[in-house]
Amino acid sequence: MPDEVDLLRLFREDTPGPSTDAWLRAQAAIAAARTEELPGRVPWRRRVRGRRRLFPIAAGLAAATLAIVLALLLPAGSPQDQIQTTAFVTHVEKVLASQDNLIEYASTDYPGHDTTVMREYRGMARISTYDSAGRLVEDQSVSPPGNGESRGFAVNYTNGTWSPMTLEWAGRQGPTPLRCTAPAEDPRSIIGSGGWSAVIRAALNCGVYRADGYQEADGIRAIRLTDTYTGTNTTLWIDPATYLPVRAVFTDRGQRVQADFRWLSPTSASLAQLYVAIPAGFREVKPVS
Amino acid sequence: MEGESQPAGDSGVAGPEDFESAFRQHFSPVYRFIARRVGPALAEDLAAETFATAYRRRTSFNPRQGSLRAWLYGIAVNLVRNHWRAEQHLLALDAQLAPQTAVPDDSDATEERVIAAVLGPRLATALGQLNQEQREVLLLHAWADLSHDEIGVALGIALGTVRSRLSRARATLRQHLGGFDFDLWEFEEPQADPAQGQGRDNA
Repeated sequence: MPDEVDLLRLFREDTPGPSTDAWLRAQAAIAAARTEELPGRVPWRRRVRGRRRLFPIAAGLAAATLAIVLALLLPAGSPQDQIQTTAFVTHVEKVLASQDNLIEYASTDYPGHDTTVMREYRGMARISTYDSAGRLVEDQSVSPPGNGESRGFAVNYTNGTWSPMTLEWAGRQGPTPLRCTAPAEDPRSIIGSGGWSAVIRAALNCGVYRADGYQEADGIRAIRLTDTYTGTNTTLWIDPATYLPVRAVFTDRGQRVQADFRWLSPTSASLAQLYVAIPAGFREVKPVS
Repeated sequence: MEGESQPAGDSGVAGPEDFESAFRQHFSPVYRFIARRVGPALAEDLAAETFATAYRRRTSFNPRQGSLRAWLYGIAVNLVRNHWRAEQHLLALDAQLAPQTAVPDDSDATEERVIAAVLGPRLATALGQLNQEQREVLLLHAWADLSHDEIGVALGIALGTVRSRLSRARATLRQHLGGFDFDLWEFEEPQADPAQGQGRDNA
């Protein structure tokens, strides 16, 4: 026999569930809580589980960061040996620290799939893979680092499964010492704002790019930078107005990859693109090592 | 997102994966519980803060002391408690609404739904009359489907206190629903208040 509690259960029963914004806001709040526990943001060190596709994608971003450094550092044609000044490091870090954009990084013709779009904001990242027909086949969602590691999950829309990912990272040990590190050696360091400084410092010692003039790229008369160090035959185009990369072309596993960058304001609409939901009915599987 | 992942076990939420699983499993129902009380706009903030707070305090959750959802609802209730005025305002608005007499006649509109729609303003009035303690117990029972034990854990009160508050809350609810006969599922007599009397015609 129904009673007053049954009646009450029907009151405001049509209240909708959380919107995408609500999910995103909660994820951001948890991420912020996680960040509170950290002494400082640090780059990812080692991927423990999950697939490794993120690495080469991040390598492109790392390479682009190096290009930013040199674009700031060198007018076209300037000698590379002028690059290392402490004052300049401070200046570059300030420029990059002032960037509070959601980075959208779209690569095409990537080995094994046709298009990969990586979106990253304050260490929260989404990597979407599309097939040749433009269908979304996989999403990887990564949260900002916290408590010794960063978490995430991969959704495979082709076989209806999802798997958790965990990324371990090392604690901050104070300023990163200057050392010559090719971007391909630690590409994950670019994910999250904490990675930018380390890459910048490494770039200052390496001088891995040569600025070789201006060229039209994505509608912009950009500074063209050519990789002379990493063996990836990377060419980067930098917007001289912002010192941010607009395009990168590099070689990965023998295949040419083009990546285009968009630097978006962190609006609700753009941040919503970071959100990945596991569709109902998808089966959890063990991560691929 | 409910039911989309492996259920978060009550073995703890200290680990990142455990907390993520708990978030995916419980965010939607916790959000809806809050939204039903204070409205969707405020619920976004409070639901987000519930889980951010849960993350900060995750090591204090002890599965031996109660279920995970009871712990999460306890955090949510504490946050909603600071928005008493907003909740009262929402109830006052609902109480002022004319009884919803034009309930869609579809297969989902069961007799109970029709009655609930008609009695909506009275339910809002009744909830508005409850004190904070009674309302929290009643809504955790009715909307969050927590057991008496879980309510005790969520609110940090004894089982006997849960029962007595729930009993008083239900009595208040019945009182405000007037002559509605729950045995017959209809009004026993015409209502004196014209604004509320439309319920009988639709019962």
